[in-house]
Amino acid sequence: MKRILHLIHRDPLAAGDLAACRRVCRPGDGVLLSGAAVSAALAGPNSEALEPGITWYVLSSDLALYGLGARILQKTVDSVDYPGFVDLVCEYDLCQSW
Amino acid sequence: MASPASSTRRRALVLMRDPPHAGIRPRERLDLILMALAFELEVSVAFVGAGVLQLLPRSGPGDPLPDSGAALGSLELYGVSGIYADAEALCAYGIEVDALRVPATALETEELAALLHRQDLLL
Repeated sequence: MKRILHLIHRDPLAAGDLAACRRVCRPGDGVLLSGAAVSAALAGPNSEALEPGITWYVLSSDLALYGLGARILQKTVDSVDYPGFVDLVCEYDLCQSW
Repeated sequence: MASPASSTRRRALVLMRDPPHAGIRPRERLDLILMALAFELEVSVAFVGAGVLQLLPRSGPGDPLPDSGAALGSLELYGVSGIYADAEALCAYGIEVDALRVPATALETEELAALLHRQDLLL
């Protein structure tokens, strides 16, 4: 099965992108959170458990942009910069922008 | 429908997730479908979430907005190889498959996930 990198950039609380993505996300896939979606990467009482088998990434510059750079991320989230973003796009078979 | 040469063409899937009247987005996605067809991709279209509402026949004389969804009826004519609808969303909105204005195949979530994962391009 091909591996998809899912790109999510809208606020998970306001838009249904993350929920829609999770329905079709399968082990081996990755999810990159950028823009307002970076909040989903944070650890905290409201944080949703992130599915195992799926690799979660967050764009570090957007965390900083939203004033969340100093917050603690969920353990299973990898922080990536823009060159890392480009590498991920090349690494996965497909990209889906939600 | 798919031509005999379709197996050699790259497979592309366009996801339609916006309800009708969601600004210009549904229309832009329609443009994207036609553009992908012009590049000789084997194009399928999946209506998911609120996007399934685009598949409902609409309107009467009171509809103030042009019905961009009318163009969906010609997708097959243009050579779109598959039109799919999210079964879970159809159920959530209480829509029967035969009430749709376009003959679409209803897909359960697992089938929808498999459809995404076997494409060459996601648009």
